[in-house]
Formats: sequence, structure tokens, C-alpha cells
Amino acid sequence: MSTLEKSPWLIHYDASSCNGCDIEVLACLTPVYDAERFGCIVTGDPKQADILLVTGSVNNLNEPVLKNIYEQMPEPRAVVAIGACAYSGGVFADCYNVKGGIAKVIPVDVFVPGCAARPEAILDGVVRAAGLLAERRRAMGRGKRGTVTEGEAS
Amino acid sequence: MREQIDGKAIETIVETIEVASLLGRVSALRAAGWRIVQILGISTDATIELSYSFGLGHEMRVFRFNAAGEVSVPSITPIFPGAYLYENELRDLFGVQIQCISVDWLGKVYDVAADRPFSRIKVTLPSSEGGRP
Amino acid sequence: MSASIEHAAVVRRAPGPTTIPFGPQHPVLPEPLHFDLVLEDEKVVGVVPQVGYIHRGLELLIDKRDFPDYVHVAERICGICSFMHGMGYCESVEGLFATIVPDRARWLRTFWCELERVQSHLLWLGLAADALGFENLFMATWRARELVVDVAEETAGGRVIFGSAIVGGVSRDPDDETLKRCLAAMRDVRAETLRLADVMIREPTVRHRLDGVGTLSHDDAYILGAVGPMLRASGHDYDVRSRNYAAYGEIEWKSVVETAGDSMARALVRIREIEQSFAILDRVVATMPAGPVSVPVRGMPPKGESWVRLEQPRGEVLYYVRSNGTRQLERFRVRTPTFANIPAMVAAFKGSSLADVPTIALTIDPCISCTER
Ligand code: SF4
Repeated sequence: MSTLEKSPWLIHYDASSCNGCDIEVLACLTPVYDAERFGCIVTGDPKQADILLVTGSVNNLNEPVLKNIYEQMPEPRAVVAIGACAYSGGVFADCYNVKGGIAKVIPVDVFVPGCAARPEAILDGVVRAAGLLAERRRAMGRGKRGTVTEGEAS
Repeated sequence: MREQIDGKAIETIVETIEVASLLGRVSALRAAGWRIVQILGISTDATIELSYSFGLGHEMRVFRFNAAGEVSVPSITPIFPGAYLYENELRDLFGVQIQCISVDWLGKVYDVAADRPFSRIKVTLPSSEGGRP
Repeated sequence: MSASIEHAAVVRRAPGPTTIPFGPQHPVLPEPLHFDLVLEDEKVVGVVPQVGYIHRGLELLIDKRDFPDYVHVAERICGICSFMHGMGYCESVEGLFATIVPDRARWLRTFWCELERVQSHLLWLGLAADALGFENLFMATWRARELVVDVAEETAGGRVIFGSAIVGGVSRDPDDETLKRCLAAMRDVRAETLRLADVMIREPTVRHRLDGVGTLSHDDAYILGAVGPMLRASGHDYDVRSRNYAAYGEIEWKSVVETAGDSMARALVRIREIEQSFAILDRVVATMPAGPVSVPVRGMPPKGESWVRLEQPRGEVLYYVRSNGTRQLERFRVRTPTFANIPAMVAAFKGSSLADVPTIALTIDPCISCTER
């Protein structure tokens, strides 16, 4: 997709990651990769967020926190799981305190590969999630009351 | 025990001691200007071996003793107040009975999914109730 | 409903300490750092650190992996100091085998260690600037940092997880031309970093928030077991690089010490260390010896144990391995710098005001991932 319809707001949650992927998420927001050019902004408030970026895997302690953040986000929403850890636990899959990927707790829309995931891949994941968001927004019938959505205008 | 770094050997002195003499030995080190480096636990099938390391400049000295089952180990936090995290870790992950730790998470320092995950032996602990402080 | 509001309005909180949580999700830190702060009005009188959000128990993986493969796990103890974690594990296993690592490998290890220190300190500088309200400075620092990361990728193969440490040496051998080109590429970063750091520490509002705030006394720092910039900012000249691991014995460098012990001193130590690390990088490349970059390490690790201490960006780290003579080592232990710094961190918070807690936390530069492993 070439342009985004809306400016998706991001929220980042670090489950039990090794920091590698977190640094790359931060790197995405800084000038070289600059996710803000897509209109993305990072917020700390789940109620304002559209896309949840999760790095790392779940354990007993952070599972409720993650669920909580997800449930507070308004519909439509999308979840991007970043890195091998968020997919399956990665190198730590065998650890006793790692339950596995975050898909065990919340539905995931996009998996970003890598250990650590590259910023380009993370950006791609965000853009895809934004595409899904737009589809979901249409499916929910938003914009039918008065305003014209892009698809209908053309 | 020798630590090899680039062919140069730097001595790490490991000494096996009795639990009863722990506090005395540790306070002597503190008086001599040593600082705490770490406390390490190693579980074998039969026992849990504790190694207390202290450093002074480049030197390192290790006190080692076994602490399985009912052996109760005094906390060294009155001497090195910063040791509480190590001791909580040893108790929660290995099940070593350490008495009177200055900051005590009552068995929940990490709140892990398994009971005494680092221990390979069977120890009976008095059940620690209550959540995080 | 209105009645209950009126009622609430007349109930005063009884005077006395209140406990409020700081974290686990706090905007100034990407990681879940969590403290329970005990406050008397605005003053912090007690602090209880709460850990466990990131605990994985990776030390236990040691007997599920062959010893050469565990490097991959060791590198992922923490993504900020990944090369040093990998290398520390390798050095401890080499200690068991009494392996002598080739010179070029030692020099390359030093190169990557210092690159990582620059990268980590720049990351810190950016986050600190952000916490102090300078978003622009944050962005500028991270732009500079990207160039350093590019050099890491070009020479080692990875941006954050370098992946170049192996037992017996290093797995990559960038040629001298590449290294020189990389240094030249970083020259701008060096100048830019100095300029940015200078802007930051001269700014009166920054000085106001850092000078004399979160002071850790000379004695407390030592007795509580603080390490790294935290210890050196309180006037102790203790830098594990003086143990001459890798090539530090043959390359000139000096540890950076400040005496004030406050947030500003900790910031200054890191800023001066960035400059120092750039200088070390220059010397490493200038004196880079030729030769092989690894020796084969084969067979079963001999029975025994080995201790290794290194200086990471956050301070002294200790690795311990014990072998029972099989390919799976019996025990691996890492005591990371932030773990050792937590008691001192708690001491630095005490007596400060609530509003200063985020900036003090940042000048301590905690790394939760390595603390909890
Ligand atoms: S996927 Fe790899 S780099 Fe990312 S958090 Fe997990 S271990 Fe770290």
C-alpha cells in the first residue's frame, strides 16, 4: 500500500525481551528510520493507541499486564509481535519461566521475523498492521455517517 | 583456582568454610576494605553449594559451603546491606534457608512459574505466605 | 452521588507516608522498571525495587545446550551489551580449556567491546535527553548512534546482537581497510556527540535537575557494591578493564573518575567515556595485529570452574562456569552490573523528591533485562 489512510498511534510493550528488539523499535522512531513519517506516534496510553507492538515472550507476571493493555485499546486495533521471542519464545523457549509467544495471550495480526528484528522489518510490520486497521475500520462501517471514506469517494 | 586472562593468571582464592564461621569471616573482610561481588548457588543432586565472592581491587576471594535441607544460613545483610537481592534469589530459586534478610520479598522476588527452579534436590521449606511486600 | 463527593472532599488523608508505584510501564524507560516508592509529601523516604517481569531463567539453559552453542543464549542476556555477554561467556569457557586466543581476535574483541560501549552510552544519552525534555537532542543522538550501529553491522554482522563471539576467538574478520573506513565514517559521530553532550551539560535547566541530585556517597557506593559509572562517579577508581583482558593490557587507556557522586557526575562519567572509547577504537585499529582470528576448541571441557570479570557499559560483570567433564556445562552464572547496582540505586533515590526519581533512574542507566536474566 502506498499511503496510509489514518495516522495510527502506537503503543509498545516490552514483555520479557532481551532489549535487542526494543532498541530496534526505538530506532524505528528516530530519524534514520523515522516511523513518524507515516503519521505514527508512540503513546503511553492504551486508550489512544491503534497498534500494539510487543517484543518478548509472556510469563506469569506480564501476561495480565499485556492482556490489560490489549483490552483497553479501542476497536479497531491491531497487534504486531516483534522478534522470535514474541513468536515462540525464541532462544528462551525452553526456559522454565517463559510461557511462549504472545499469541497465547492475545490475537496477533503481524509477526515480524528476526532476532533481533531489523528496523526495516518492523516498519514493514507497522505498515501492514495499518493496512489491516483500515480494512477493519471499513468493515466496522465507520465513516458511513456523513463523511465519505476513500474507497467510496473514488 | 586460577583465572586465566591472556595467559596471565589472576588468583581467585576459594576457601571452604563452616556455615557457623560465615559472619565472622565476612565481617573481617569488610573491616579489611573488601566489597561484595556476588553470591552464587550451585545445586547438585545432593546439596546446594553456596559461594560468597568478595573483591578488593583485582583480587577475589570466595567462601564456599554446603547449605542443603535444614541448614539455616545467617543473612550477611547486617554486614553488607546490599546483599539482600542475592539472598532473596538464593532462597526463592534454590530454596536455601536464609534467615533475617533486611529486605525480604517473602519468596516472591521474581514471582516465577516454578517452585525452586534452580534446585535439583528435594527440600522442604516452611511455606512462605503472602504476596509481594 | 453528589453526597459521596462532598463526603470525599472533607476526608483528609492522615499525615504519614504514602506508598506509590513507579513503573512497571514508565514513559522514560523502554523497560519495565518497577519501584514502590514510600513518600512523605514529596520526599522519597523508602524504596522497594520490584523485579521479575523479564525473568526467564536463562542460566538454566546451560545444561540443555552444547557449550559452543550457548553463546547464542549468552548474547541475548541483554541486547545492549550483547557482544560483551557473548565474549564473557567465551572467555570463561576458554578459561576452562586454558585456551590462548590469537592476538587479532583479542584486538577485534576490544574493538567490538568499545563499539558497544559507544553505542550503549549514546543510547543512554538519548534517553536521558528525552527524560529531561529535550526530544530534539534525543533524536539527534540516536541519529548519530545509527552510524555506530552501521559500523557494527558492517564489521560484526549484526546491528544489536553482534553474533561474532565464538569460543576460541571471533567468527568474523573484517580486513584492515574496512576497519579504517569505519573509523573514518565515525569521525563525524565523534564530533557530533561531543557537541550534543556539551549542549546538554551546559544547559542551565539540565544542571538544575542533575547537580547535587541523587547523591551517592563515596562510602555507600563501595559498601553497597555499586559498579561501573555509578561507582566511578562517587570517586572510586575501579574499572575492570585494568585487569587486562582482551587487548586492554597493550592499549593505552585511562579510567574516568568523578568525585561528586550526584546525577551530574554519573552523566559526566559516561560522556567522557564515550570520548575515551572513540580514542581506544583509534588505537585498536592502528595497532591491529595480523593473523588468525580463532583457534579450534574441541572435545570435552575439562572438569573445573572458571571466573571472568569484564567491564560493561554499566559496570563490572561476572561470569562463572563449572564443568563436570561433559559437553553440557553444569552451571553458568552471570552477575550483571545493574543487579549489583540496585541497592546503591535505592540509596540514591532516598531523600530526593518525587519529581527527580525519573531523572535519577536514568542517570543510573538500569538494564532490567540483564538484571533478571
Ligand atoms: S527476538 Fe532475539 S533480539 Fe528480540 S527480544 Fe528476543 S532474543 Fe532479544
